[in-house]
Amino acid sequence: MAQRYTILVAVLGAWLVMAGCASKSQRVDAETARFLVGSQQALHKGELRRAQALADRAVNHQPRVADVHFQRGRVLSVMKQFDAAEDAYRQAVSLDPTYHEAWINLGHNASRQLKYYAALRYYEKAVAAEPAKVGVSIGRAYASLGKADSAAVAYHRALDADSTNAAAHLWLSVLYKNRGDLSQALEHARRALALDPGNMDYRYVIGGQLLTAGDLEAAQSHLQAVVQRQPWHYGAHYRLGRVMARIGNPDRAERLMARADSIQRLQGDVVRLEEVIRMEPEDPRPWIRMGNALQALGRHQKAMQAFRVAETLASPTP
Amino acid sequence: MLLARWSIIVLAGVLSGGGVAGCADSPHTRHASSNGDAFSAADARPLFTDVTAEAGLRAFRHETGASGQKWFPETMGAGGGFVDYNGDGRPDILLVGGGTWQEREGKTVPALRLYRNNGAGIFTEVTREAGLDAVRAYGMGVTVADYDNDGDPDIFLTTLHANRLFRNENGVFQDVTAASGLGEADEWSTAALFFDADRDGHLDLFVGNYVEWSPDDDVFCTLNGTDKSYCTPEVFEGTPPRFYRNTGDGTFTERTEAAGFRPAPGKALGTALLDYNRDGWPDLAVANDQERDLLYENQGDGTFAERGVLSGIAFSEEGRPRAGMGIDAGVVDDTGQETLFIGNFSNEMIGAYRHQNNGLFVDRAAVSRVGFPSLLTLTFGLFLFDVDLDADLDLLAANGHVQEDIEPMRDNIGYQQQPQLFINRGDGRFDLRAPAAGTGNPLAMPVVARGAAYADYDRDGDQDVLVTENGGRAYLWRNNARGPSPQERPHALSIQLEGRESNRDGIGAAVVAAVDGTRMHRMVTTGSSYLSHSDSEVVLGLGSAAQVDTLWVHWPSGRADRFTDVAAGRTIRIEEGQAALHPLSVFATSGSGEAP
Repeated sequence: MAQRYTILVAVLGAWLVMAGCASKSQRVDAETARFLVGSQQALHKGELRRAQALADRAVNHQPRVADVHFQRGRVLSVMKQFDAAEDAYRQAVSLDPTYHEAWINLGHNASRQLKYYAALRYYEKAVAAEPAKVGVSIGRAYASLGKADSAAVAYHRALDADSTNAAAHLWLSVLYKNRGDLSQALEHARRALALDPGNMDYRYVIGGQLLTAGDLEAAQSHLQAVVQRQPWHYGAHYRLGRVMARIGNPDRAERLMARADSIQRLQGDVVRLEEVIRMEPEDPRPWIRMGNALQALGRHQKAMQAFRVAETLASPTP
Repeated sequence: MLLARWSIIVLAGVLSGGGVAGCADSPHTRHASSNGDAFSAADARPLFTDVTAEAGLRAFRHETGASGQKWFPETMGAGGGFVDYNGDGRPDILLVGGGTWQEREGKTVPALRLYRNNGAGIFTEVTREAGLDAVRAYGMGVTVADYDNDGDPDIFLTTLHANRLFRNENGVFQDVTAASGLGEADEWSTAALFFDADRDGHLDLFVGNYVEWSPDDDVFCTLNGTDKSYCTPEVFEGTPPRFYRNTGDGTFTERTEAAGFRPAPGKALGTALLDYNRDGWPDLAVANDQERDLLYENQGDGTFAERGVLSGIAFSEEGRPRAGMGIDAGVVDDTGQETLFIGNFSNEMIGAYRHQNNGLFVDRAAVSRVGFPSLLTLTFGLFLFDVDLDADLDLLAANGHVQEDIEPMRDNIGYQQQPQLFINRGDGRFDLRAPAAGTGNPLAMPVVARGAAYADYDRDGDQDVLVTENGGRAYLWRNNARGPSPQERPHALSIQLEGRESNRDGIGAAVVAAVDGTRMHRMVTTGSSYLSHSDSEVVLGLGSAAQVDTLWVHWPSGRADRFTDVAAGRTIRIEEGQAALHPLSVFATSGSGEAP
């Protein structure tokens, strides 16, 4: 309890200090800081209704502070209310044009709505401040627009800024693979994994590329690791099944691909529920169904988060 | 502040095979396909000229029947193709007219429109003269073959309800649906093909079906939570295919289950004939929309085993079913193995599955350089042909979206999309032919394409292209590969087969040509692409070679014929078991529009 209090005070203090040097917007006062921290904590727990209410209070209390709008945007993003989130982030950057985290989140928000040109405009506002991280986002937006060369340039710039940027190596690898250059793809995927050895997404990417390259033994090793750590990963099951088929083990191949198929169907439920939630973000029922679907997939932690969201949506507004 | 100012970067999308798809949707360009940067090669001299207007096809409009209800079939379009219905050696054009929802009120459109090739690059509508003007149905696709082995092509039409078979009697078509036994099923059929499954000399029929849908069972779908939008197939039950065995007396007997075609998920939109294991027995591949794609391996007796999943063609590389539509198969490299190409939805690459060995395929979409440029497009019509006559098969993809109002909702997707022509480097890797802007090049013209087919309508030795639009025109593109300059003109040889012991059209026959030490493999087929029928004549592009050194024909009957030193520049007919070739004509000068 005492430890939690200490952390809260530290966070509050940090917020107050940082807000003071942030921008032309007002300083965060103590009450606003409490609202913001409370909103953050609620968001972390998946208590979206409470997180939103506290962010709204912060906005009402100090509407000239950029951070309150930023926090409100974050909550709305998680609730998949992207238009409202965009409005909130725009408020933040209008009060503080140097607020690069808000520009970045505007970019992410636009990307989620498949508005990649808008996303690029937002990312450009922040790339000087965070060239490595934002460079990756720019690359992904270009890749999504089919502009492979521009995407490659963005990833390389991100690596110029920070050669240990594992995500940049990884996305560059994905780009090279999609362009049919397997050797470059594998080189960058290996670098990404070396920088972040525990990352199962990276291991999955390498496994898939090795399968395509015909290095079945190495592919099997990586994909097996993903299947063990993430038993809900249909792609890893499927690709491991392909490895088994090609090395002459059709029985195991069939079992793995059947498992991939059943995972796929459960994933389909999750995707459909995400869409329902996007349409009806205030309705707790799809969140409950989402929790059930995630539970069936074996993703217990995510399932609990969904149930918590449902609980807060079902409860009266604090 | 630091705590608050974290941003929400997640690795999702292509990485999230085990997670929920994140914001990483994939790419598209408005009104255009991606040039994919380094994937394209400039179209210095346009390969095609749009001759729709001068050919007399400008007045045609496909009818969707759309009146604001947003009924599912309205998005699917229809096919078309080529058929030499009067046997004059010039491919005529057959178009599916579409349909309406007001049949009870007498507001209908012809289900089929037939245009006779006059031989001067001009087509004249002969729907009435050919006996097709009274055909009423919500038409989808056509496939053409001489199912009764009487020497003329017959037409099978798939529709939203009962399908129709038209027997050709001296250029006039008789509706023999009821007598043939093919009209009993009332279901939404799409892609069909004739092939001789049991190699008895009579063409059998495979009919792909789509979903269970009727106006009464329509479902409300929405993109914005308020307004109705067109549904996608996930919300409907699939309808499995049917297979009919030709008894040889003009009738068919349904043998779907006995032949191994059920159970199946349904939602078929494309089907292609191939013989990937080279056992001489025809196999079938089926592209399904949001269901696994299927590979039916012929068991050597006219029955089939479905091996799609284990073979590796059923899913994307990540194991996801895709929105399979147009499909074709052919040998595109020097391995001699067939590659199966399947057109998919936007955000999904065209699949390019090459047979490796033992019935296993590997998806080479990215490596073949077809993958990345096709991420941006929604491909319906798709086929392989040697567009530039350089002895390898190239790939054409006819693209167009299904949601008219997609553009405000997606930054990178257009309703109309450019077609894509992928030129084979000769080793199974392709360059996207980037059309020069403002040239009137059909490849630069965004359309809402659905069907696509090819034939050498002007008999100049290269294959021309027909593309149909949903709720729009049909386009005829003249191929300029055998251009005006004799010095630059590649050589070609056109081959028509006439089976005796085998089916009359020679469907399923393998044609192998040895030219300057390399071999070309072709198969005489029906089906492929999307709801469309291409000419079954085999056109061999020979590049600078003036002859085929050795030509083999492996007939479905098991017989093989061999010829040597076959001169190019002409159309020949090969009759099964006959020692001699029959020259039919020499190629016309390109662009003259004159057939000899």
